[in-house]
Amino acid sequence: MLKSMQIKHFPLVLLLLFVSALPLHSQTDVFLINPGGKTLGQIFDLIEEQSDYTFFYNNDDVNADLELEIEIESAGLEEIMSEILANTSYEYRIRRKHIILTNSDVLFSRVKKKQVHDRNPASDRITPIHVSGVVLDKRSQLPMANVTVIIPGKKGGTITDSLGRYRISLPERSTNLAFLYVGYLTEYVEIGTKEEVNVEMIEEFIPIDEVIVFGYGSIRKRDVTAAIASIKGSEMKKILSQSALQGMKGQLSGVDITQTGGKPGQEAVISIRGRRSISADKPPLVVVDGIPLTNGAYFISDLNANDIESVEILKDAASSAIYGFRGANGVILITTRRGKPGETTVAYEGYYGITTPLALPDFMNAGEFSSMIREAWRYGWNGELRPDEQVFSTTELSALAEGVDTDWLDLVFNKGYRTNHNFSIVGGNDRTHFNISLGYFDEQGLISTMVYSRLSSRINLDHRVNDKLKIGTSLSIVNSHQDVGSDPMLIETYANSPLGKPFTPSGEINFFPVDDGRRTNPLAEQVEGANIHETEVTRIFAPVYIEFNPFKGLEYRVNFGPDIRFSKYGEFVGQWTNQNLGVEGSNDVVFSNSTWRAYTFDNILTYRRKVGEKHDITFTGVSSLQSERYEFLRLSGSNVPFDHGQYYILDQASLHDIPETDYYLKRIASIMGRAIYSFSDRYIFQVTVRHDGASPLTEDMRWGTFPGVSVGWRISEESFMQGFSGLGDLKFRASYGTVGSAAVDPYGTLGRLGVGYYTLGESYNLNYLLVNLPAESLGWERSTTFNLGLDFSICRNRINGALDVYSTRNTDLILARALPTTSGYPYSLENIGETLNRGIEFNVSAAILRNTEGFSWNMDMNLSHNLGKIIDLGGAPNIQDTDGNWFFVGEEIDIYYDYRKIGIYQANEADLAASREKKVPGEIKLYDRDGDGIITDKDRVVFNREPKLYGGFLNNFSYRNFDFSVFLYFRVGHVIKSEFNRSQSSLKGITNNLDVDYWVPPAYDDNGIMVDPGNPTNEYPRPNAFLEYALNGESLQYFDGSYLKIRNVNLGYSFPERFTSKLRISQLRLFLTGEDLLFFSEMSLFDPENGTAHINDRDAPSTRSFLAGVNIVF
Amino acid sequence: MFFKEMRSRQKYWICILLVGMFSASCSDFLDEDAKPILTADLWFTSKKGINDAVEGAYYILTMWYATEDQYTLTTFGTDAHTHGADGDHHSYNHYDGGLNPSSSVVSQSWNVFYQCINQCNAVVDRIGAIEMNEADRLQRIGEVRFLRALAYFNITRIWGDCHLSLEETRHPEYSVNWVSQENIFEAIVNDLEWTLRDAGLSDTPEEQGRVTVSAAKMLLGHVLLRRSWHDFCPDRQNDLLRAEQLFSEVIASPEFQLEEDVSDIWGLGNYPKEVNIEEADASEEIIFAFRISKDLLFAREDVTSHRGHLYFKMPYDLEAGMQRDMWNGRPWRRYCPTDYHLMQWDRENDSRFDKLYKRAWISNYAGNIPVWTREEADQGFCPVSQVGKAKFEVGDTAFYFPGPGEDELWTPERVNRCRFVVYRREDYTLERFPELLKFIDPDRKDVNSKFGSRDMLVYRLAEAYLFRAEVRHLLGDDPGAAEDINVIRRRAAWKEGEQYANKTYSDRQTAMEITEADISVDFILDERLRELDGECQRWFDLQRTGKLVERVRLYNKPYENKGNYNNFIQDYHILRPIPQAVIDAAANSDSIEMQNPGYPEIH
Repeated sequence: MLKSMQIKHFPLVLLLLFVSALPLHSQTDVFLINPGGKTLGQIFDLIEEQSDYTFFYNNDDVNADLELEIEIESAGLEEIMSEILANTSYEYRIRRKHIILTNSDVLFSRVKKKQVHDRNPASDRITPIHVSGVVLDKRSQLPMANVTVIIPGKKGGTITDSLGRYRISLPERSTNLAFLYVGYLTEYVEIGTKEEVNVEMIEEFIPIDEVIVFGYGSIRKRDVTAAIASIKGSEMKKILSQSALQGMKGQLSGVDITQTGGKPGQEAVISIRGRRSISADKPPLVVVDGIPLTNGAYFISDLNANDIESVEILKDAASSAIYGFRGANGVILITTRRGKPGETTVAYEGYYGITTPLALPDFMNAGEFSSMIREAWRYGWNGELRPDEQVFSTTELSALAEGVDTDWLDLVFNKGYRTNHNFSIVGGNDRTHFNISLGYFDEQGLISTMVYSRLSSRINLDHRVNDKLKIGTSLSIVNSHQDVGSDPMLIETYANSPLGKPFTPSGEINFFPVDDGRRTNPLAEQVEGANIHETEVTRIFAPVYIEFNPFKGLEYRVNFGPDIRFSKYGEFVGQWTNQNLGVEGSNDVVFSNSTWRAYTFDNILTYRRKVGEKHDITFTGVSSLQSERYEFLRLSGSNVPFDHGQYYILDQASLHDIPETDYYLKRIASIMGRAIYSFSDRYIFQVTVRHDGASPLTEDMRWGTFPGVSVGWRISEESFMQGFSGLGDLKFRASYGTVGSAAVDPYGTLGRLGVGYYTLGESYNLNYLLVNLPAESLGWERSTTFNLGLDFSICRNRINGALDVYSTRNTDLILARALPTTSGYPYSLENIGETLNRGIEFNVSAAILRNTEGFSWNMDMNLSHNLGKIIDLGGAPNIQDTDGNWFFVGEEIDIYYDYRKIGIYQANEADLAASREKKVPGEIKLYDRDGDGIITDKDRVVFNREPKLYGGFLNNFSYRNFDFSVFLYFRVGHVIKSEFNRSQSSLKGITNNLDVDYWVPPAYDDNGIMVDPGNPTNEYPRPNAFLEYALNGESLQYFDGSYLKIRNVNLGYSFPERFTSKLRISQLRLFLTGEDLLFFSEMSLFDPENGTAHINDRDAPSTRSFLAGVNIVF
Repeated sequence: MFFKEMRSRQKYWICILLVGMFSASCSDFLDEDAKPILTADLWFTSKKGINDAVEGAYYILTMWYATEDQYTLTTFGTDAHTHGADGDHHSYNHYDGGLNPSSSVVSQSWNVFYQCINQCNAVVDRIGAIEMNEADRLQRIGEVRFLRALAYFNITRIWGDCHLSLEETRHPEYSVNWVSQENIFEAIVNDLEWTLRDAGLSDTPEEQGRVTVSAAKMLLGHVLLRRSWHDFCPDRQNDLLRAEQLFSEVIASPEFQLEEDVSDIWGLGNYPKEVNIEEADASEEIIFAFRISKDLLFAREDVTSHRGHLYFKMPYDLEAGMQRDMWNGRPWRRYCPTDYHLMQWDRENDSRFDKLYKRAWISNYAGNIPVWTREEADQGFCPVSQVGKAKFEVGDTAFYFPGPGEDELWTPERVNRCRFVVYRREDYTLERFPELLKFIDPDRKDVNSKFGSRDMLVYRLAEAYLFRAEVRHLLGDDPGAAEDINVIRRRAAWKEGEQYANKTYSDRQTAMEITEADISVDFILDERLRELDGECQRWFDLQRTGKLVERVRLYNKPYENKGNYNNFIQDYHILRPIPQAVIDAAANSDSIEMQNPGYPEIH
């Protein structure tokens, strides 16, 4: 691997890098201070008025009547505090919402005296100068011991004592001091004429509400100029689901996450700002601890949600441009928790709970089913019914006589459970710190053989070698096991007749419940060992970094991230299954292995410089190589000699199928540069240029260049805005950028021959077929986004939020342009076509009540709207891809294109039915869009699959030690497709049917007088035993997919400290959670959320969960 | 301005690091490592490779032959078969709105034929540059020109006017060249005449399954016969004479013989004890068939298997005393014989119904065997002592169709007393009818396997006689036509001492003979129905002879006709709709009338 990277050309591989955060101070609340003479006490009152801070001080130490001349009008708390305390001996610390004042004369009297002693700095240039001070942790305001204080480039140095104090001798003036501590950003301070230098060290992991991680670096939130959404790990963890992705669902604007089904371990799908590309419909890029994952969002479930510190989502091209084309569908940045210095803490978090079906479809019972069958066998649409003997089989007749009425769903679906346990140990000393965690997740679905479990472990380790060099790793190993059961387990549950007998008289499973040799008992599928469909995944993700700081402002970091994923699939389908129908000795086995070996190799150079007070500039240069290799082997066969050998004895099978193998290698190389310039904290400019190369494109078109620019204007910093009281922060953002997309399979442009097998003589021969036309010249698809955003913070920071509008234009779409297949080829890969996506995103959080008599109420809401449209398809008005999906110019990308049912032809509409659709009464009546009196292909209509609006609504309440939250999630304005409503409502009578309102013809007596009106419904057609499905039964599948879901309700209780301290634990919280409790929708069959894909008879019902758990920190 | 202030040592570091970083990306890193793939320019440039390409052309056609698409387009929607109770594509029987340009049956079929044509074109274009024995080269060209002609013949039979290309596609082709059926026929005749003249094919190919000279003669004869029915035929007399000559040569070839017993064509000689598919596929009567692998390993291949075994069956597994098994097969009840079809059988003389239809099913399941009831005993159908006892046991007949002409023997009294169930014509439904046995396949991997291993027959010698009879009739030589048909009819007649279903027959060959007075297009069509029943020719036969609409209107009905049976066939249905996807993709579809008349134009 290393060799292939040609590392020999790279002399500096040992040098290293850096990433995470810019050493910028953070600033929280902003206060308005009226200029003029004020006493210290008056200023404290002003601050208390504008915030929930309270001052604490000892009247003996602090003189509140001290008069001050304040020059600032508005500033952050820290700025004000340092200003007003500048000429005093007072020190302050902030602990929670308390500002504690102390008199440093008392605290550090020794230092103070020294300072007084050396008051005339200009005079001595030769004698060594002594500098002293105190080092505090910026966040906790606690003194930091063992911080290394050195003079860069010189020998010698010192460390701080247990009170954070230090004293150092300098050989000359105008020297820098560097303060080093593992896990903290190195602080460089110009000494100038100062003799006392107090330093606040910033932890390298900076709380997420202040600093945003973005591509190859981090940035203060107030400096963000792009559309970035972020969420803390702690918020996601409230959702007790198997994957991190599900934890984010509904919590981020512009990020649409939906579940695809109710089986354990079934992954959710994610789309950021809608679908923009036709062929490049790939999931967003996932970056974990700075390493882009080659396997993308598909494998996000390999992550233990408890390990996640924060997630950032880059939504516009200006921010995702740093990741180039891999980020064309958005970027998800995941930061895992890292260790911190200090006492080692051990924490346990766990829960257990049961799951029940969220909704079950309503099927016919025996009486309803048999009536439907009789109707289905009617002679013609209005003829006579047949005698029962012609309609029912012998077994069905006897079941009818016995009154058999089986509810298969009730028999098959039971309760499942979900449990999770997570241990973590976090700690470190001044040079080394760590986070070690171990997690175990286990879920059993509504059927006992549907299971998913995951064991994950992580070691995050950072070590500072010296003041210039730091190394670290984030090793994570995950092993998961999933068995989703067999398809017939579900199909047979939905299809079996209520006239079938599930058990024999002796209580055993009756394998053929209706004796038709076709329908088998779903209970047989779940017998232990009858049916194995297991996937086992082992993922080793072990990025290492070296970080090198040769001098202040320059960081160089090398990331090397090997990512290896082994996936094994084993299948054993025994004799007593629907697949083998009980045939003696028959079984089928599959054993397959796939392996991905990928690595990312990044070199990142960052140079930061502050010039004067107002100019702040950062340059970043990145070179990145990424390689992904895939290998696949699948063997299968039939009839192994003994069942318990499962697929492990495939070698002994009596029949072997053709083995399947596959391989690909995909590579990406990039060079990128970025500059960020900030003037006076008010105007922020960012420019990015990237040059990308991707191996799957044609050779001459492999490289593309993609720029991005963005600006930010903090209007609230302008003097003309100072009059608006209550306004905290107001920032206007604008960004414009282009990213490329190379969504073409490896070797997709080469004109790969297909493989055939033809028998000549006695044996088959392998042969090769022309199936793909080589792409003549396939280059980058370009996606250009213009984004305008506004960040606001009002009512003294009680309400803050953001509003974004954007427009994304994808041009040069990589499109399989349909050819008239007369050429022998169905398509040619070309860069043609254009799409346009426009949307609005809004999120707001409000602290409605802040600890009013112990009661707090926070509310978060986000809303997203996206409308995508195809502008051009290379001149064609529409195209259909190889999967049969339609694309139309002027329509959205994700659509269904089909007939619309407007009713059922009634008995008096026989002529109309024949002339319009060549149908008879009782069949589906379609919408005649062009009004020409006959139904043709032209009458199909477009159904939009993308929601018009989606979002989430979260309310957090707390009262004393109780906390309570409710989270609602919704999507509206889209159509979902339920194949289930066609396949399980065939009205043919050979499988059980949804209990639907079907049409029945009226009956007349010999005089033509109606004696029975039948059922002239417009809902479902007449049952017909002679049609596999109703004519145009597809039109029964479309539903308004809008829904509102109660996603999560959480009640917690934290034990008071006086209680926990007796148990020698520092924190103890118990909680109860209900997940996916209810939904409201027109489509009530299963779960409208699954309709993002299709709802069909291989879907398991979604679950509702009731869970109880505990958090303990020792 | 920032760098000016920087110290030289710092600049040095920055330069070093930058150089280091960007030297890490290098030129060959992005080369595609195309280990697992081949391209035409890489492979179709050697003798081995070009042979693969030729075999590939055969293979591509098996994506249509023996598939559901072929059966759908040729079997129902005729006078011989209507739809059974199951299955998709009923619109191809009813000619209703579902038979439209968006139907997957037409688009899939279209794609297979043009894919094959491109593959054949590639062989013709590339083989000249390959070093190989000249005789081999000509033979390979002959094979692919035959296959190309066959593909075009199917295209023009199904769709009429269409695109004609005789060169490999090397660059994207956005437009179509719509040429008339007349020109397509000319191209087909050119290919086949070249093959017969220059390719040096024989009737004893190196491997079973390759194109023979007789296959090319059959196809050319068939093509010329069909052209003679068309108005555009340049010289009808000439075509017919040439066709007669070709069929005569085929009949005269010593390599092909009629089986004496029709059941041997299908390996049913020992039915119901045994079915021998390999023997059937090696029958000397076969002139050309697409080979389907007998290897179970490949029988799972979805596209290259024979699906015919599924479609003509009734759901016997729903009957008392029966469950699904390998021998009886997987019953998909797609095609149900029409009443007209069942009236074709003169079972006194003609052995074909008795030999090729299944009428009795043997019980294989004890679970639900019916018992004699008190009421039945009271009515005297069984002795009282039998009440509560099973009517039959596993191994006995479970149910039985007397079949056409014998229903009368089964009076209600006899039926009631019978231990097994008897289905007479009035009991027939869309899922209860006698089964055609020609394609049954007990050699499949398992009972539910869809993948049959029978070769897909394209031409057999019997058809050469039937074709020549048609040619002779069109040339006015009815005695000659009757003579040809009598060859087939005598073969079909009961022979002296033959035993079937407990009956011993005497020689009925003379009784089966017809005279020139019997000859008419309708008679020839009926004889083709009887001889080629289910062999994917029917729709084309009716279409060729201009009888499609007439006969579908008259006869496309099941025996049960108590309901309102609808068939919407119109005159324009003699051609299938051009796939909408082809029209949509064609850049010049605005300037060409591509869609066949009658079908909706979408533009």
